Amino acid sequence: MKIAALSLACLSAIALSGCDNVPGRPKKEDRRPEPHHVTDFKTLYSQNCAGCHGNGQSVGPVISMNDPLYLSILPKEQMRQIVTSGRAQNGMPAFSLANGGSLTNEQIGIIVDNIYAWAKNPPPANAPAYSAPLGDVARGAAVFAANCASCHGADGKGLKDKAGSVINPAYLGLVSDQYLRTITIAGRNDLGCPDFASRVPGKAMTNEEISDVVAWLASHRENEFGQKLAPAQQ
Amino acid sequence: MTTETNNDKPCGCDHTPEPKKTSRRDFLLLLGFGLNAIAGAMIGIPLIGYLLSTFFKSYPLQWISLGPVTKFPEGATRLASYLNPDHREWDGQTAEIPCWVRRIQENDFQVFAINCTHLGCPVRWFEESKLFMCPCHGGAFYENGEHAAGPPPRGLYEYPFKVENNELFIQGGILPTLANPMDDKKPRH
Amino acid sequence: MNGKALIQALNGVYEWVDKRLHVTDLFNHTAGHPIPKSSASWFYVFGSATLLCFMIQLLTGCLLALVYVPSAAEAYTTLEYLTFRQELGWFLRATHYWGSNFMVGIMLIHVTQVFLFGAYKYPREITWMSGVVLMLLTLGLAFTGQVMRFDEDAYWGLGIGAAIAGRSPMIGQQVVNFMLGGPIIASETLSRFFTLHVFVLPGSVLALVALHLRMVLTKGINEYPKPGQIVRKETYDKEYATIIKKEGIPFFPHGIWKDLVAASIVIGGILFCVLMFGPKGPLGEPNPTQIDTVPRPDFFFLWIFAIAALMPDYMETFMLLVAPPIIIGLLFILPFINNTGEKSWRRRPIAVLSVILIYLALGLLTYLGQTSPWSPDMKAWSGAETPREFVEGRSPLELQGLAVLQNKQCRNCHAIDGIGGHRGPDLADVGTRLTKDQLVRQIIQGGGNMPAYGKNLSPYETDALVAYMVSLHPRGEQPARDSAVPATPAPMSVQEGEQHAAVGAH
Repeated sequence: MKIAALSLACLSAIALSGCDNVPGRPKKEDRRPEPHHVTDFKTLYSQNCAGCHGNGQSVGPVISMNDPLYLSILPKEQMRQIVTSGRAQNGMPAFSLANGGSLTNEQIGIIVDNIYAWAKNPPPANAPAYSAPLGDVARGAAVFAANCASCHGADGKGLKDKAGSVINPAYLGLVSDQYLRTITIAGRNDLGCPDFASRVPGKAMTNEEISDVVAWLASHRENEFGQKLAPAQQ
Repeated sequence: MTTETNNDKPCGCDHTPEPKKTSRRDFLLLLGFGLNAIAGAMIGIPLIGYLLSTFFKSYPLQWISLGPVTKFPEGATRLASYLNPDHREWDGQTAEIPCWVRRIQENDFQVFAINCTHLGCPVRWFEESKLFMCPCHGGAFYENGEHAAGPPPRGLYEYPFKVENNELFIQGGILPTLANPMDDKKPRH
Repeated sequence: MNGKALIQALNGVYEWVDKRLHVTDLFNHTAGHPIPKSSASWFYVFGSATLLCFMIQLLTGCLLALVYVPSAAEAYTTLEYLTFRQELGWFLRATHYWGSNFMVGIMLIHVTQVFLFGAYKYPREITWMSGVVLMLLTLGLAFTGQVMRFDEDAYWGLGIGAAIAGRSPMIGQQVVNFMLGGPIIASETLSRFFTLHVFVLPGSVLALVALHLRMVLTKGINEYPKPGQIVRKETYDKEYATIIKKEGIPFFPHGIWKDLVAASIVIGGILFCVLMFGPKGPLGEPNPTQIDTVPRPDFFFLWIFAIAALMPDYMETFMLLVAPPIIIGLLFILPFINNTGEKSWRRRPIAVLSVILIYLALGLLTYLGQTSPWSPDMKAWSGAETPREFVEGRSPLELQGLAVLQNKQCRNCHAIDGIGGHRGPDLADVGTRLTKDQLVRQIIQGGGNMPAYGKNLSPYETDALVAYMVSLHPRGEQPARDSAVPATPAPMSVQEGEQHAAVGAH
């Protein structure tokens, strides 16, 4: 009897409330929007970017977007351009619908805007330029010895239990000079590679040093048959 | 007519019936059945014809424009769509049919149906690995539509195409199935 | 005094009505018919519970049809209207949806119970056969019902139906056109499924329910079978008559109370699901050009979806087109294959075993259909992250290899430590399973359900990818090695690994 009375009370309570607050009642905001109308940054980023760039906490194979230094040197418009058209040489896909991707321009805007919300600081005073022409190979070797050899070895072929080769032709064949420059500037703090300012304590790398060391790295490029490529050819 | 006998015996049935009259009744019953069979057929055959009209009708492919060839970059595969040439006003969104257009070079195209040859789910193109993948049962196809992996029995269905005045036309307007694949590719087995 | 007069007056009215409508007679022949006492069992409530579900479906279906418009252009809009704007529309949709789930579920229990209790045997063959047809009609209602919810899943579900129909020999194209009402999925497709769902199938169910119940009345409800009680054609009718005479009780009121309790439990169950889980969908719009979709059938057809994925392709058409008629045919003529003999499931091990096997298979297939590990995860390549331990400590080349692995959509089918697609093997320990050479061959040539990537990977990309995959082995475990080469005592250093990779580039 008690149970019957109780359930009757429950039912009438539900009936009286007009079923407004029951969990089964669908809410418009719970609906999955059409893929082109997704505007939630978290969803967009985790579906399209996190696999390679990590989600800000996790690490990915390529540079994290949650890197204030990187964001401070890369102009926002340029990132929008990279997301839109891709960077074929580095394997970055084009994401805009016009280029065969799956994102609308508006969605790309949302992603880029929100990534830049992670940028905390203005660029440091001694920040090198995001892009610059290649420098001098010979000087680059010296810069490498001073700044990079402690982990990557004097010859750049890597040191056991420290860091791997940066002159492997396959590696160099898969990244652009700009990629090498970006990593030289921003490092991979999430994987233990310091940025340009902290490789040698108290002595930040200059813009020229960075251009030189990139030139030195690029000079190791080979084609698939092991023949050296001139730096201009990349 | 036969009222006389019936008037004598309100229930003539349980008395020995005269053979002559029985045969007349039989005839009238048969006549009744027969008339109804004819009437039924006269109504029924058109009904069946109406119902089965789509069964017997053939739907030839029609030339449909996919727009100027410049819409499709060379060496790329892009999603395109066309208005079903046989659409109704109340078709809504279903009138717009998608397809994959691969422009190999200049006027050399391949236009694939969206439908996986396994069970018709929409395949998706992945530019980086140059594969079409199906979200239902994991069928995969190469860039040229050939079967790459999974259960599909053959490569992607391909629309016949032509280029006229720099405009790409395909011959379509049907849902391709194994029974009507639009092309003459052979199944794998 | 007054009361007595009133009762007398009412009695008079009843008699007047009864003389014309023969209500008492009708009652005695139907609800009041005698049933064996043993049949007034909790096992015997599922038939009436299925019928109850059907009644709920009729009622809610009629009410939904007040608003729903069966047109390809409008159906989705009216579904949204029903769900979000129409007063209690969501409640009606949910009740219709859960009612169908309950109906299919309870119907399956009913069929199973009838099978296990041997109720299909002499003289109830037609009861069983009409039941088989009712089961098919119910599944037909469930399938056409999915189409009524005209969203992306409904659209592509129709595509799947057409693809199956298109496999029929000789007249495939005609069958497809007939099914779709034209050469392509469009408004006429929805209209004909609407006609089936709303007119043809429910009407047929009503007619067959009448036959089914008529058979229950004329041939009696099956007595609760006792082990050792053998059905013989010569003696059964007499035996049943004796049971009814000796221990028969009227269905109403002595047998029906259990059905009533069961009915209230079913209604309560439906109501609970409605209030807790609500209606299903509608999912995205039925827009064919929106191909960012993962079509899945409703719960009760997931097992077919799974079969379609797991069958080797050379027997698929057979499984989709030939096997179902054979299975249904066998079910249909079951009473003639196995007409007499033992009824109790205690003495019918094969029957019990086949029920267990069928349900295990259905359960497993449904589970697989739910998880569908064979489907690529279309967003994994750009969205699936890699656990820290599979990124840290890698050389630049290996990191680039991981980038290639993401970029070339490998993750859509291959998980790393469970994250990613599940069509292919997890790559977390691939380095212990395949040597470098084997990896190269597998990637370039494909095979074993993997596409060949030879044309789509540059030599450098292959180098990087393989270098990364070789590095995937749990700490302390040796990488796979070629058994033709004697084992090297020391594990490979990073430097050596690099040199190997570099050699591979030449």
